[in-house]
Amino acid sequence: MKILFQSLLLNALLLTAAAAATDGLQVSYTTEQSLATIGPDEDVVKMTFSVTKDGAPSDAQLHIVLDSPEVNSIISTDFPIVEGTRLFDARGITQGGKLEMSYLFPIRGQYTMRVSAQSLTTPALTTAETFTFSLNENPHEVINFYILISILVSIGLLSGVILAKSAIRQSNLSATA
Amino acid sequence: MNKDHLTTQAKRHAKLTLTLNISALSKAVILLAIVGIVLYTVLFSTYPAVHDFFHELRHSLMMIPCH
Repeated sequence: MKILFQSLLLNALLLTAAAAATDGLQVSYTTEQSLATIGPDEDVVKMTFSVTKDGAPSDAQLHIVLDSPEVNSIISTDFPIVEGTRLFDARGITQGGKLEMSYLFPIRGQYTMRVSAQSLTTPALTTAETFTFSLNENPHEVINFYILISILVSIGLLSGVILAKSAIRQSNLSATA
Repeated sequence: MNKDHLTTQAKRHAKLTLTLNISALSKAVILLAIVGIVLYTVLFSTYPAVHDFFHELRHSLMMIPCH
């Protein structure tokens, strides 16, 4: 009975330690500027990945996978060939618990980034996080789009008026003839 | 080609245009065809010379698929 109790206690201790170790490795990222203000295909974004172990910076091998926004069958982006594709799949080692990466995001939409970390000091210690973030379209491109629509609508209205006047004139002429 | 010849040509074209009798439907079809061809050429054509010239314009219009 005593042996059984000791065995259970040991198992419980080991499980608690494993859970704490798993919880101990954390990976996160920050960007120099807010993602809400980043223009796709315009601003190079500097991302900093941080790894901490029990709250302190810790070196780890990172595996970063970045997937582009899914295809929207109704409204395309200006760069449809990259929609729904894997943009980035790379590994790197942090220094002082940090790894910096610069990237030019090509299109608007929701990106998915999966970051896996494996501790260098304790290889059995791993963690993986999936981050999603959205980029808005460049404001000047939105304005340009509205200008294009305005021009097309104006041309349509002007053409309609000219054609209607012409048709009325023709019908008047045929009525008087 | 001298100036007088050009003037004569212009007058001839103006006279011809004024005397043309095209129905409103035909005019609308012609207009739609011209607008369609121009828009397709400027925004969607993959012909390299055209594409390269309008490349930046297409990218700056938010939802015109360039490549």
